[in-house]
Amino acid sequence: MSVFRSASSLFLNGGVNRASFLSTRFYFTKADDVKSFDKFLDDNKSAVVDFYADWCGPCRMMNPVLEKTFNNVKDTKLAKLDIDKLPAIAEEFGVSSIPTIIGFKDGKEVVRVIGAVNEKKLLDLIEKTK
Amino acid sequence: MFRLSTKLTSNKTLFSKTVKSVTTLNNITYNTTINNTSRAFSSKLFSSITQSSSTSKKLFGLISSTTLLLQVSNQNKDTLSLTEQSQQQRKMSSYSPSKIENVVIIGSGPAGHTAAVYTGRINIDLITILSYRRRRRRRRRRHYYRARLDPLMFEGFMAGGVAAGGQLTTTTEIENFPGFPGEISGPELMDRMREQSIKCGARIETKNIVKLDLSERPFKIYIEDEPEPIQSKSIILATGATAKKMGVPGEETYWSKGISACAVCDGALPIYRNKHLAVVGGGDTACEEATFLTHFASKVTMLVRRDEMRASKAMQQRVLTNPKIEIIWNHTLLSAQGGDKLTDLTIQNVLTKEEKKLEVGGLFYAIGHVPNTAFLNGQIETDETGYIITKGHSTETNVKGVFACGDVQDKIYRQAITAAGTGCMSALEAERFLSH
Repeated sequence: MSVFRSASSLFLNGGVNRASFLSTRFYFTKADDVKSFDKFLDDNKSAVVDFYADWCGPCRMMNPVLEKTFNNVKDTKLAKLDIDKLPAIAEEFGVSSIPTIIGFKDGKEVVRVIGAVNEKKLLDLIEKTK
Repeated sequence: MFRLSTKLTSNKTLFSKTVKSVTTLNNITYNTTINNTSRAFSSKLFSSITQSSSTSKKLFGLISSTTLLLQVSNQNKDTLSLTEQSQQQRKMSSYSPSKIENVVIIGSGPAGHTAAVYTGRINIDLITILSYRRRRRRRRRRHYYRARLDPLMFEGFMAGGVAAGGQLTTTTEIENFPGFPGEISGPELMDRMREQSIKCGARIETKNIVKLDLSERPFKIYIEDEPEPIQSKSIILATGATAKKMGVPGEETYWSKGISACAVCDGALPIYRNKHLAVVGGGDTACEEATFLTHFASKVTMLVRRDEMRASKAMQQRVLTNPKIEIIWNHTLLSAQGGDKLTDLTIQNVLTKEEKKLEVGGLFYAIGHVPNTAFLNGQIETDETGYIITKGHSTETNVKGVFACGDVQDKIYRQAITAAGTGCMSALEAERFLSH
């Protein structure tokens, strides 16, 4: 029944393109290489990038907060960047401590938060990217 | 659908049974729809179908109406299916201001999780119920556990500056925790402990505690961003300790931009790669961090305040034999300077008072820890450095019903396994306290 409902809602929306269908299932996009990172910044006017690493405790603490926030926020999109996979980009943005969350407006950095933060500060950051 | 009906028409009793079962199914769906409009719709549908002449049409109508009713009931927002109801229940928090908890554990390191495992498993008040049997047979005894301690643990959101799980989440490999001969990392060990706590029946909340009111029992616990406190009969404090900072000039400016208190957290970052890094401290942590940083740095300098280290002999040997580590004895840090990022430090010889400049790309503190007891506001007796004083060979504090375990009351040993041991002690003492 739930499958019926979700399928019907897709049709009711008047046809949904593939990107937003995926985004209804995941609350973030993974930036695995430079191309996908650049594409993410180009596609989204209001974007937030989370620099993280697997071995970082505070980054894992942030995950539920990010999920809750970005499941409710509409226009802003989140991308997660593993600094072990893309150290060059981490160095380009001068990431000196993780987690670092950078907000982009039209592809340019406008605001940055270092360390694990709560939902309120995250929402403030999202506001500045709009 | 029609093929099914023609097969069944050959056997009249089976067909009538099928019709009966489908009608009862319809009745069930009819009864579960709470909203009035859907009830009216379903009753109309039901009556119109039963009045139709052909039996095959009836069967088809009943089956299709059942599926339609299910769709209608699900689309109706006022009615919730069982799965949705359980989902809603799970979203609600596990505590409330009106409920008096048996035991609340504050802190989520090895001490807190061991206490959670032990308190979660304790069953108190085993009572015997005599059940009556029909036909004058002997009464059968049934044993029920009336209440469990049902502990509530607050793991905190970045409380004490570290992730939930405590200081162990900032270590890489743990070699000396008994039971784990292979390679286990700190975060993995804490994940396992957390899983075990939940399995043993503890409820875990990712919230910080801002204040405690221990003036009367039940104790009041104030949670961050919540207006009303929750109440508890006993509290287990396992808040641990936070890494010390020196507070030198330039520290605030370059914090997280060159200066850090956790080499394991930040040392692997690309900005510290192949640079000259400095570690302040002479204990086990300092030696461990210096050894770890040699994997990434070009050179590591240790600044030790005296002419000897207080680290264990094994760790000292490791550091002294490492070619990448240089130890500067009898020096202390004065200030940190740089442009956008940290570039150099000013260090001073404690004996001759001579100042020297050291060019570094990063600085890491490993000078010890401060116990997280500031939020207690002096209600619990602590010594001059802030560690909670516990009575003798127990974890009791000066307030009856409050127990302290782990690094927050341990100045001497400060190991994960000793913290776990004191966590168990706290749990057993809390149970004994509650049963009197």
